[in-house]
Amino acid sequence: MLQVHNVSKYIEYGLVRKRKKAIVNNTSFSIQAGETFGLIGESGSGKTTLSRMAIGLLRPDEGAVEFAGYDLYSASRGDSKLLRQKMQMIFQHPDTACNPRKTLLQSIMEPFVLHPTLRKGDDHEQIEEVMNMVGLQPELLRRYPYQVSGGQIQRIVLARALLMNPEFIVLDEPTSMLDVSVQAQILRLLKHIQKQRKMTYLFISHDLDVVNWMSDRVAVMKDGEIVETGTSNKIMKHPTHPYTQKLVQAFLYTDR
Amino acid sequence: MIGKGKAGAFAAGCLGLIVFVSLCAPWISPYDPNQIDMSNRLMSLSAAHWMGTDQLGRDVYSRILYGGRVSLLLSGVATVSTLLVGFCIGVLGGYFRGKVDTCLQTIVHIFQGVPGLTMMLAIVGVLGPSLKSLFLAIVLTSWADFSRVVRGEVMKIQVEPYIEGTRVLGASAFYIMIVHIIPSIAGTVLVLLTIRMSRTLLMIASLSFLGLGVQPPTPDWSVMLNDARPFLRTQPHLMLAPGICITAVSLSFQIIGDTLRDRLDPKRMQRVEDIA
Amino acid sequence: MKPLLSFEHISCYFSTSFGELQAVRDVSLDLYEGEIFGLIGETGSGKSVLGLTALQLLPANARVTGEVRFENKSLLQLSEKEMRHVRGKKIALIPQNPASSLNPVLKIRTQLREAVRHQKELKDKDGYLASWLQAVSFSYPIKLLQSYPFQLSGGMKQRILTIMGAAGQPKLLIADEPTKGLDAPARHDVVEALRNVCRQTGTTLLVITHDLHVAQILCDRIGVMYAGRLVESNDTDSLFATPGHPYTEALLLARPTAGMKPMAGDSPNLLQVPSGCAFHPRCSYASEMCVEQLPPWTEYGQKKYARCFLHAPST
Repeated sequence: MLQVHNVSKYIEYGLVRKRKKAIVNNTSFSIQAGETFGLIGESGSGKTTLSRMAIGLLRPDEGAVEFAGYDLYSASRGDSKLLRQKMQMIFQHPDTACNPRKTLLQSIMEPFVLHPTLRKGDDHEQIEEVMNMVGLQPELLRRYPYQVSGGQIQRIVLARALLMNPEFIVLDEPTSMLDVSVQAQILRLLKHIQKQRKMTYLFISHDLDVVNWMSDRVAVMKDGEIVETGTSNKIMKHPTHPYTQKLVQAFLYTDR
Repeated sequence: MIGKGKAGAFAAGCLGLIVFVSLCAPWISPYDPNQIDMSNRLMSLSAAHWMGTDQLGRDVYSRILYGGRVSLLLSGVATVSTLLVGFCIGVLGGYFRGKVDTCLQTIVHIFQGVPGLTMMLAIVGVLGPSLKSLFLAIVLTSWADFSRVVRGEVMKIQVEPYIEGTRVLGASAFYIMIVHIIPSIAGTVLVLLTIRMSRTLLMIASLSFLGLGVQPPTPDWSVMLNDARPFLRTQPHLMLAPGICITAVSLSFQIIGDTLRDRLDPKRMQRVEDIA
Repeated sequence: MKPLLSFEHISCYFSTSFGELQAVRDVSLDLYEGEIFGLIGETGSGKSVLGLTALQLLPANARVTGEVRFENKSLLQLSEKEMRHVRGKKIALIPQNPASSLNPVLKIRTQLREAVRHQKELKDKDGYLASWLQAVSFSYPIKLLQSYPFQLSGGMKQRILTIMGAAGQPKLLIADEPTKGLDAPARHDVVEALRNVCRQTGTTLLVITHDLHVAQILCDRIGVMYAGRLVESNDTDSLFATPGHPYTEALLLARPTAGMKPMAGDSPNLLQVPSGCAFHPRCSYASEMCVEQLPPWTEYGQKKYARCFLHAPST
């Protein structure tokens, strides 16, 4: 469904002599329809940059991204608007996920404002449907973002993404800022929705346990490159790359 | 906190009174501000002339009432124009970055590099002293600072995750600018506007004082200041009256700006959990 | 054994624009010399607030009742000036946010020397600091002393802050969320650093964390907080094996490794905390009694305490 071909992204630095450093270096992977593809790595390994390129937010300096047969960065205006709808993203920080000056209702209505074709009769019915799906009362939408909890914001952002009828969602550490009990609720919800709507996920996290639980396949990223890819079971039980081994070890460590 | 709110209310009241009086000057002033009466020149405070008369025998009280009109109107118009220019350029540069921003920033830097007073004097000197050249001088010397602040604010909000979230929904740059960015910086711009008003007023006053701004015999506070210069020792009230007015207006704008800044600070809307 | 630090009936209130809010509710807790005590709980449980009361570092809108005893002195009675002698020298805080807790324009060396400035008898300060850096597994301590904060990763900064707290040789270290925002390898290093520092010097450590894994591998004893109350206090092994309070049990089951069973219901709103046991709306063992009365703080085993009717003598 999604194919990332040899993408690279560089940053230029240096005051006098410009030097280039690769954040993502010549990386390829592909995601099958209906699966959850986990991407794991330390902070600074380039996983966030890679995911932004995969969803069309950040143009790669080299390489191409193909989604459902279309090249993401050379599609026509009409096509790319359609592609936009099919690919959604949930971000890490719930505190800043919604405009603090607008009510949550205004935020969740944005898909309708931007894509009038998504409207199917009664707006409120549609919103109620997605809110029920994420397990929240529609009344909550009257509040402002700072009046609800982080877990609730993440659900509302998910509900908004669902209004777009996406086929593919990038989950960029959606629960790393949340408490354990809320994390469990959100991840279960994501799995449930995936089954119900036949969704494909790219799940990014630095928590191996969480990635392992969520994903079918996992890629391990280090210094801008994917060093190992495999089923999550294989990565956890029989890591081959030394870096993956180190990572798994740091996680399984329980001695006192 | 409460003290500050009261100061703000007082400043707003003070400013409101001055604006109201300036607007109603023709109806409440006891004399024509330009009525020359050489037999009654340089009189002290009296029942007939509350604030005395100046070197041409004009009633100072009437001139004070009229004197806010030109200064306030000009500083209002000039500040809003400055704001519009600076705002547009700041938003464009802040949002688009890249080449557009580099070009705009170069121009901004050039304007910021020239000392303000020198540039104002040059502009007014070339165009001759008139309200039009005064207006032009103010706008040209202050839009650059303004656009820097706006650009900084835009850039700060632009990296907020909710902006990226809106892009994921397929929003265009124009939509994001209108719906998300501009309302978010409106508060900052408002604060800036009030503080700028006071600066502009002082700029007009200093130019007029140098004889390059508002021209006599227009009744204007800064002109009155200039006229009163030779009589500083003998008739200090001639200088005090307009001086107090200019200071009061300028200070009021400053205080209102400060109060607004505190009120509009979104950090005041803290989440309950943050504290606990 | 006499406790080093005791919280006695601590309550903490915040005045907010929504009304007065009680973040900590009548918490009593003893910390013994040389132990590593973990305070765990979720957002809004009051764990950080409780930790900061010991240092009187709460914001101005906070009001504290109760008593904090440290080496038999009452801390809450001390003046700001007297408190300054306690902070850093007797009790040190390892702050929550490593990124903004170090001065970006000063070298690590300068900032660490600041922490040992009171130790006048110390001749070779750099050598002393280097030995500390080695203790928290920095391989090139001399090179590190010459670097600036921006050259270090989040985990490294957190370890530097650990030393900054410990190098003044306080009796008690308080670490507020020391692993927040760190990834697994960095988290591992920080835990290791905290443990080594405390074990080598016999410093007592109070760790405030929401990370159950960190609490498990680091702490000797753990206290669990929920909606401002201490609901359980237990030694680490038995807490993870046989939790004493239903909330702890639910929390443990929500971990990824335990199958991610979500906890029922929503986190409590601190302005409307449920009556009786605050956990009753989400508790599968809840009965009438839990709605009406607050369960007593019960010792149900050797040093095992819980605030739940399941352990109360009458049932």
